[in-house]
Amino acid sequence: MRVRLWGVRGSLPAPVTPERLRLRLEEVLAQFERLKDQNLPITARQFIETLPTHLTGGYGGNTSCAEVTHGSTRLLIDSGSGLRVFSDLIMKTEPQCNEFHIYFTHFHWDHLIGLPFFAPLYMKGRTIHCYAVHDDLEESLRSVFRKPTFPVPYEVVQKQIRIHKLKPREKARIGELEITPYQLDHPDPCWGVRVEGGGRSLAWAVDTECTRITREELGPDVGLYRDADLMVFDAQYSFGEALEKINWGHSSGPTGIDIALREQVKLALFVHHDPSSDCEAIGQAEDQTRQYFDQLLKARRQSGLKTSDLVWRFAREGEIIQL
Amino acid sequence: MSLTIKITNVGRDVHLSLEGVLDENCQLPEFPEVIQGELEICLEKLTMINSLGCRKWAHWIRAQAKTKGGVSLVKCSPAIMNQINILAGFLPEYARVDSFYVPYYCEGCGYEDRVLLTRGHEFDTTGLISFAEEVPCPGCKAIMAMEVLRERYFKFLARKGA
Repeated sequence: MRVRLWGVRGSLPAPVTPERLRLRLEEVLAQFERLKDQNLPITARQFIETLPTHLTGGYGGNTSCAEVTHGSTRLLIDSGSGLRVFSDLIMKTEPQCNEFHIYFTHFHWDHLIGLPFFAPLYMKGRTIHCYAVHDDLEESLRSVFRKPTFPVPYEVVQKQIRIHKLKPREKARIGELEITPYQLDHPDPCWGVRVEGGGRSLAWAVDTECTRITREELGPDVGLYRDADLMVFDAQYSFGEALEKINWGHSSGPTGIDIALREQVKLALFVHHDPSSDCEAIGQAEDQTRQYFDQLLKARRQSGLKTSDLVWRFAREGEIIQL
Repeated sequence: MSLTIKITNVGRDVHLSLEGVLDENCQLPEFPEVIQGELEICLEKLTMINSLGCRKWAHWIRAQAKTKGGVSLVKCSPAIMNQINILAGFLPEYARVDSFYVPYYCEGCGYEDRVLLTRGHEFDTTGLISFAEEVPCPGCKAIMAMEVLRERYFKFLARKGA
């Protein structure tokens, strides 16, 4: 199973401004000049590898969209602005592809904004299967294609869309993948999804505040996380921010770490980065989470508990994870 | 992994002792009436806290804000001090650390120890006042050094109400 992240921002797209990009370039070039002044034998590429994320590509600015592929089956999760980038690539590399599957966790704007820019929607002979637990799936999609906020009416794309209502917590098959919706903790109904294929599993937990934290509180929804090979988790806020922003619907890296450790997740990626956070701030949140993780493992060792092989990081847009 | 809580009433004060692990399964006590004195919480034997337990703690300690005499954390273990410094929200403004342990380690013989720092003696609201970063090892008489990074471990002192 392969997972590609087309958008890892939350709430609103957050492109790098020209000014910030210029400042970044200045800083990087200044550092490189200093190295060269010392006559160090290092290439530009090697040098870039040493730099922190916020000085190179950054974490990305597009909102939530992911692609899961296994065999000949491809599933998209949500249609944030990252879907537009996927669309551009598909039109170049697979222009004849005539069937797509999109699972919708919920219908907040940042998870829908890319849909009107998904080119296959406007092409005859294309079928876009749309999946969700929500009863109002079609009405929610229709709301995106509505004047005055968008000039193209839903009727133009309706023939290409197939609506599939899923049952909560029941497995459904999409080609070579199986998906199971699990409820998340968000101000409006939001359903994460466990995707399984080829003996591998993805736990998609975005958006969630994770207010239900014990296994008893989670009940059957704990099945989302159990032994997942990859967990993608909402870490929009720092831990302190998440404590303050009760019922805002988002979580933090340390909370995701603890869920992943308890449920024996192998790899955790943190997404839904806050649009107000520049890449340096996201890097600081990642560092804070790393400090927390290191201290927690130390405390576990000292308490005689087994340590963990959990691997985690804050996700970057465009990342490809081969499970 | 569990948490043991002991509650003792001392006049108008309430003394609470937490032992074990503070995680998502812990049940923190409810006080039906506002505590008329101080709520003193001993964290000497708290061995580990995770973020889920910290969140429960943060919500719980906010509920103790009405305690007339304030909230005092005493004998905070190194595990707690690390989390106080990393996880914002663990220590609200109206709660103060009145004593905490600093771990020491002897490179010579591997001896480990903890030294208790107390408010008004080794530190106050302005920061560290009388504090030894190195102490003699009781085992081999060599010098034991702090087993923490100073700028990280004492970071909480800069917070208001610390």
